[in-house]
Amino acid sequence: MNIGFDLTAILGSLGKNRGIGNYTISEFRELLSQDKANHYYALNYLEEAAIEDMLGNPDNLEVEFLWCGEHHELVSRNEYREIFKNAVQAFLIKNNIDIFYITSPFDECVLPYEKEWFGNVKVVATVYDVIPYVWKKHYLAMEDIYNRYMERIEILRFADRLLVISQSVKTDLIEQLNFPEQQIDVIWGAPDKKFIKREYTSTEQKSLYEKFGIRNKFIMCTGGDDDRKNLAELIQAYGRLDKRIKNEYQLVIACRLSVQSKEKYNKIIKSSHLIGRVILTDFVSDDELIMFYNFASLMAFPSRYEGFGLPVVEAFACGIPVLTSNNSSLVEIAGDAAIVVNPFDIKDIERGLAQALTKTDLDMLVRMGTERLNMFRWPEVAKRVRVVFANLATAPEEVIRKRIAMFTPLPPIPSGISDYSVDLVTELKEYFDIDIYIDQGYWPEVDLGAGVNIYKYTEFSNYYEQYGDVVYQMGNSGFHFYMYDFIKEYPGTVVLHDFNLHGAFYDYTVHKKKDMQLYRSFLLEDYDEKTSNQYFSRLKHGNTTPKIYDVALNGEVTNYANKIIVHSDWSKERLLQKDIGRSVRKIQLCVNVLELTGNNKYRAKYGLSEDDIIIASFGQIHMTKRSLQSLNAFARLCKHHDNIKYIFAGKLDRVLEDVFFKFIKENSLQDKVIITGFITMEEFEEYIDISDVCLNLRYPYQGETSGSLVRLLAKAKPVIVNDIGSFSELPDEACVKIPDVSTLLEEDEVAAIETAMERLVEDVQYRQRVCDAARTFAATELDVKIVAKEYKRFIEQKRYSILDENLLQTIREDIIDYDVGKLRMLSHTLAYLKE
Amino acid sequence: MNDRSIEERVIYQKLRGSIVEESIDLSLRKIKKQLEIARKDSELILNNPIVSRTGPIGFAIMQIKKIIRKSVWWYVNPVCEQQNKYNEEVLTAINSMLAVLQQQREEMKEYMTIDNSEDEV
Repeated sequence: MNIGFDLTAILGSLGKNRGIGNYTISEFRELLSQDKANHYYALNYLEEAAIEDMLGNPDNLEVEFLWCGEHHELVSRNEYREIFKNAVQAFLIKNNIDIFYITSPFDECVLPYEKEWFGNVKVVATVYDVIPYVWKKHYLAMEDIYNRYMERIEILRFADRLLVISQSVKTDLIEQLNFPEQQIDVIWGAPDKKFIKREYTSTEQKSLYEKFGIRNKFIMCTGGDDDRKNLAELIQAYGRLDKRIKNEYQLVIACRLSVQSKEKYNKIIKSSHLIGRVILTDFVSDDELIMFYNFASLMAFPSRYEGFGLPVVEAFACGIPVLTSNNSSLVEIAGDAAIVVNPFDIKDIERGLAQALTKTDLDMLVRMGTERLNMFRWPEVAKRVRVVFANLATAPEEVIRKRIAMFTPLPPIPSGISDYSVDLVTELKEYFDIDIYIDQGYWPEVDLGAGVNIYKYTEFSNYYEQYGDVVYQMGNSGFHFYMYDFIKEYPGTVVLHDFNLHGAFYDYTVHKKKDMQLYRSFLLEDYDEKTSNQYFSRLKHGNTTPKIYDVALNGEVTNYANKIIVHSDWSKERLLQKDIGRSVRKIQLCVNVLELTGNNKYRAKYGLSEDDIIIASFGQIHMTKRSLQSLNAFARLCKHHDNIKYIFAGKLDRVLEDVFFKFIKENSLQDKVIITGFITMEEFEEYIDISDVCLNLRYPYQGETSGSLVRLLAKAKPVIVNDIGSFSELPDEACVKIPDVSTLLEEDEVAAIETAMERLVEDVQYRQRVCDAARTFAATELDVKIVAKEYKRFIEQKRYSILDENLLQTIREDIIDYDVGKLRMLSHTLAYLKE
Repeated sequence: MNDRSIEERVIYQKLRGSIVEESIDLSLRKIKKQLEIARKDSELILNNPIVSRTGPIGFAIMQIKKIIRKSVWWYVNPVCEQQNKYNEEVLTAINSMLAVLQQQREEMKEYMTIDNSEDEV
């Protein structure tokens, strides 16, 4: 299971460096060390802190710190409340949380949790006490404080289990607040490991005694600055003791006190003639507190009410006798191992003190206390919590198979996306029933097997209600025209194979629909009115040509998509720059990673020798593929190498024809360069198989990813690419990157290609290393099985992020004075809201 | 920022970009306001009318002031003219600089609206 928990108990105002914080640190240290079967995720929205260190650096813990602004604006301001609901939901989804543990529901820093935030996630909360409610006249007299307290109680109402630290708290919840008994589990508490009986040197003892004015024996009391702790009554009861006892034992009250409390207690001390006999230490360190426990003759803790009463078990652990109250959790914890008194009766406290110091076998009490301590050990507490977690674990929900629709071209449509969809659907049908909607005018020459139906798009409106999602495979060609209207009417997940769809949009609006105004409306989806009109008017009057490469368009489809899949960070970044509210996921372009055939299998078929080193480029031979520059670099390489050949596996662009053939002739490359022209997919694959060094260059870059490239990587080919766009995102070791052409003169570009080719041709070991890394990358990241799983996750994931441009604008107005560091931390928190 | 997620990088750019823009706008507005104030006091005027409403004594004082003004006119007037000329030049220069900055700011806004496209639309 994955268990999430907040850090309110450790870092919140009620808990930090106090009992609740210490309790939670000890509990989780033990839990994390015991429970290696589950994974724990801490949500920290309070302050940057070394939580891992505090919790013993366990390997089953991850901490997510989300900074909430300089003044905790994201949590405290009402207009941002939704942000943290969103952050918690993101935390639950990203970490696949099964159980969320609210560690301190009454802390003023706790988030305003609501049931709907958690969905199917089980919720557990610790209740340390409900003392304010039990003593509401004292603690909740003011209406707003009462209301706030009751809001916290509402959090407890929707929790699946409440962990309480004593039977007394459980009883209070049932009797005072009508909680059902079966909702509550008692997990008890325990003293920190540092509370032990130990020997001190006389110097250490003397130093402590001198610091606080202790003469000899003493009774100690610790606990806190609260009337409920009954310190005034204890002092008065002590004052009533026989003078002989008072002479023998001082009373040391070891805790931090406010100025008012000190005044109040000093007044009692003075009026009871106890000056010098009663010592108010004020703040003491943990080490000093442990020394007090070790040197005291008796620990007196006659509190009026406690959720657990930690000082009692700390005293047991340090081996000193205890006097405590006969009520609440104190009597449960103390059992027979302490002298109990009525805390509301000073005489009874006096009686208890006198009995303890004169008539009781204190050694026996200490022994019983030590035995009793076995119940109150952290390993036991952690075991009880684990039992609660285990009982909450539910059987995995039955998976209901979804049906999805997919709009895509299929073979024989000559498009990389056709082949991509065949590969993808073959795997994706493991998770979904899939209905594919194709364009009119052809019928696919492909068998996609059971679970996949193919329809003409005209039938879609009859069935759309049965689909969990509609996936649109969108590319920059006419094969996708039929999808445009559907994306607007039936929004779904758009897979944006090309970032820039301007070419297709222009063809569709101007050539197919013959509607310039429609083209203008497409422009307006991406650009403001002024910019669009300016360009449109110039185009209309023949003052400019269609800028289908220079001006990227995709808004006509991306603005209406619920979710967008892209194949590169490059595209994702640009889509989010345009609108941060979009839900965009990068999922790699997939490929079938099949068994390798070796480079020589098909060489004879194509008249090539096994000794030749084959350099190859795939796809259309075009300026944007840097074909001419590659040919030029190859010609230079031929001057030093006889056994190399260059295959251009694809059709030569008409614009390049003359210059290409002229260059080949002038450089006598006729025997060394092969231009295949149009080839079938089978031949395409065979040409890849026979190649030794491949090129896949691009400039200018339009945000595309290359289907040929992923096939080359899957076939373990060393590929030379430009360090640009999605190609930059390839691992450096899995390809050879040459600089982005925009930074190079043509001469330098040719030299860079030549150098890269030369190294791969000459250095066989280097070439092999690149091949191996390419294959590993393809197998671990690009394999269609892996990609199909990513698709499944994204399709099934509900949209939950509320972050959009408007919210960002509101936040921006509040943070005008933030420096770079704060902006970065805030950006991290807001980015967490995004899927 | 490279080790950060795409979302984080984009949000940071948006927050930071906007803050920088707003602070430029604010600075430009402040400069404009200061210039407006400076413009009002930029010209030194020597021939303000000398008046008095306090009867015959006032009339006498007024005459004395006129005499003083005439007696130092030859000395003060060229300095004032020089100062006025200087003020005028400085204000014109600052105004031109402000205009250039405002123009650049407008261009920057326009640049932002076409999504950082490097190409002319």
